[in-house]
Amino acid sequence: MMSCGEIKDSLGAWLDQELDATAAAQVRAHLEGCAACLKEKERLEFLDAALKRVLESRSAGVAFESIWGAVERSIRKPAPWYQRLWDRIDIGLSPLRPAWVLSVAAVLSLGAFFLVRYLPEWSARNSFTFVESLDAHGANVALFRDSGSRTTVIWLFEPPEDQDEVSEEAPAASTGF
Amino acid sequence: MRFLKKRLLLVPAFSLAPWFFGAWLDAGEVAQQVELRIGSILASNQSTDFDPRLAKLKNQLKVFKYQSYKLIKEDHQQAGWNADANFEIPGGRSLVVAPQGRQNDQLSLKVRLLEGEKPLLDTTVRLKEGSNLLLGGPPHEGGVLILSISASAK
Repeated sequence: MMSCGEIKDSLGAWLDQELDATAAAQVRAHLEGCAACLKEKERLEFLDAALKRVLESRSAGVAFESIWGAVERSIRKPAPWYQRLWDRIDIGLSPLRPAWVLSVAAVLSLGAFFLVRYLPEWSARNSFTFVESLDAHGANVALFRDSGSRTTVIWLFEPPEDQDEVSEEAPAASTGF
Repeated sequence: MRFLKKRLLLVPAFSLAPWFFGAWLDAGEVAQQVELRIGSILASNQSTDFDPRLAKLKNQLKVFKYQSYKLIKEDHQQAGWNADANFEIPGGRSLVVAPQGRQNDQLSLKVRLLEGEKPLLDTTVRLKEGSNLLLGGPPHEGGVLILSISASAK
């Protein structure tokens, strides 16, 4: 048994014939015995009719043909290929776009993290070894760095026999590189 | 729609969680030991052979002008911070390496090359795990010795 409140809530749907057969029968039976709900039904029917009259009178002055023509032309006009491609991508990604961006960023950063953590050689391939101090106890020593192979070399060497102590010739002549 | 909004929040949260977990693991990890690896390489012009065990160093060895490279000794030891690790080097020499500290993924090592009791070289170097220092020059068996020094924290 439906209450008056429930009937009033269902009246709009009943008038639009949107209720199923059982609910519609209940509303109909209630209206036969309830003057207040019957009055509410008549008020809604009056509003519907008034609205319909206003819309019909206003729509007479609207040129629907030109509007529909423009809409139809717009629908039939083929979209450029990049727009169609983007539409396809957008359909797949748009509901989760922010999440996709964050997820991709997270996966990339995770990849970098694990490369550095578990493959130290990968991160070290672009790093030089730095020499902070060097003492060869009076012997000849050269410090060499090759940027191509990221190599740091400390090289101990004997001076050439024909080179005396005051010679200004570069000692690297007797080094191994 | 409400389900979608929840999912929007959950996806990045779950994606970032392993990253924070990994960072937390790293933060709690304090290396107690340093593994030191020394490779003794004989470089000479007596042949043109290249020892295949030196494949990883091939690019680096190209900076030298020798024609032949042979790995004659490979040694590794674990050492604590500020503790000396002694390596016997071919030709009656020795290398003393002492890890000094770790900063920004770089290990600081104090390296001392000795010939008997006589010090030939004292140096302090800073290297990244996986990279190395080449120390060369001492003559040996018609060529020269090149030492590859590398380290990783354990």
